[in-house]
Amino acid sequence: METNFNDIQQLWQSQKATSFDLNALVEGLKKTEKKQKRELVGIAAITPVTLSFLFWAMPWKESQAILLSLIVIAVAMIWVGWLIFSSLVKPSDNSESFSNREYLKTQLEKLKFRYKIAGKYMYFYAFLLAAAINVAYFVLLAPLSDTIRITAHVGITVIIFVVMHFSIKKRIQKYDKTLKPIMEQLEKLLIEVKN
Amino acid sequence: MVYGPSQLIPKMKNSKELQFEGLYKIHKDKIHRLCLGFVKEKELANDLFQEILIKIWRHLDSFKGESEISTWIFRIAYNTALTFSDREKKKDEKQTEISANLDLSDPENYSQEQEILIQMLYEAINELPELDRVIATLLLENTPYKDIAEISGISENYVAVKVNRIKASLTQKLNPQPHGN
Repeated sequence: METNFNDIQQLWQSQKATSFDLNALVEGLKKTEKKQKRELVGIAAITPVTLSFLFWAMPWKESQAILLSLIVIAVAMIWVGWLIFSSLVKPSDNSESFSNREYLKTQLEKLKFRYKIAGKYMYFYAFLLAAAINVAYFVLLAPLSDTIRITAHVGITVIIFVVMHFSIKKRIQKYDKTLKPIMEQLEKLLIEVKN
Repeated sequence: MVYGPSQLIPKMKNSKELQFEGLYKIHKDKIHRLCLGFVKEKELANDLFQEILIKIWRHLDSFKGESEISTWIFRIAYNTALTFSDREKKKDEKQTEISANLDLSDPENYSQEQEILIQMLYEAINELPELDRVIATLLLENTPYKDIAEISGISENYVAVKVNRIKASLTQKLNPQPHGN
């Protein structure tokens, strides 16, 4: 016997989800919500805690150069923090208010932005950090011999750029595996929606 | 065993919990079917189901009543389903506190023939491109074209075109022609 579309609809709608303990579900949802809030607070607290520690540990009142270096570090950290925060694709991101097309567009833009942060902005961040630390070292290491000072300046600069370069490379490799397929899928979907 | 007051008095539910429970009861079957339409594996479908529920719960306070609540729920469900992947699932496993034993499998007894048809239907839906999958599952829920257009972000006319193709495709796949004809 042939199955027509009405039969298919009936068959589809005959499937029911098993009822389960709703109280446990709501409790689970509340716990998840609390956990995610705690994580967000933790992430938001890292920058101010680090900066407070630096201002506490460094003799910025005694030297304007050190104060300048701390300000540069603070600006760089806040800037990168803001970039990362604005590029995060939260699971909940506007999914409630956007149509598919708008949702896909914003998700795609955010994913592209994450690539841009890793590939471009993080090198500039490394440059700012290196510059600020070098300014601070210039003052702090003044009593030491020139050889030690030059070695320290070159060493810290190389370390910052090498560590940053490899972490960026690793990040981009990870994005190639995780974000790229999603981006390709989103692009495909967007083309389909536009048609 | 001595019970404390908190164990003797049932917890009062707040309005959000009551609203969520109401919505859950009305929409769980549709969301469940949507998940199975999007993800073949049952375990992954359960994860997707959980993720959708988390989003509905999280955004319930921000629902402004600008559209029907069912349209709002579907929009969340479909946008979540479209960007759901194995990797996303792995990432979110760390975030969820919901019991891992959440099993949505259907306890109803289908006839063998029905069971085969359901599997064929899932396979047919799974073979469709993502956008068509959205439209197909909404169509199977008797959703009006206007709402399908609103959820998917395409015009009503284009929905109509797609619907005809989808209907033909599903009907054909569920009625395979015997060889030799």
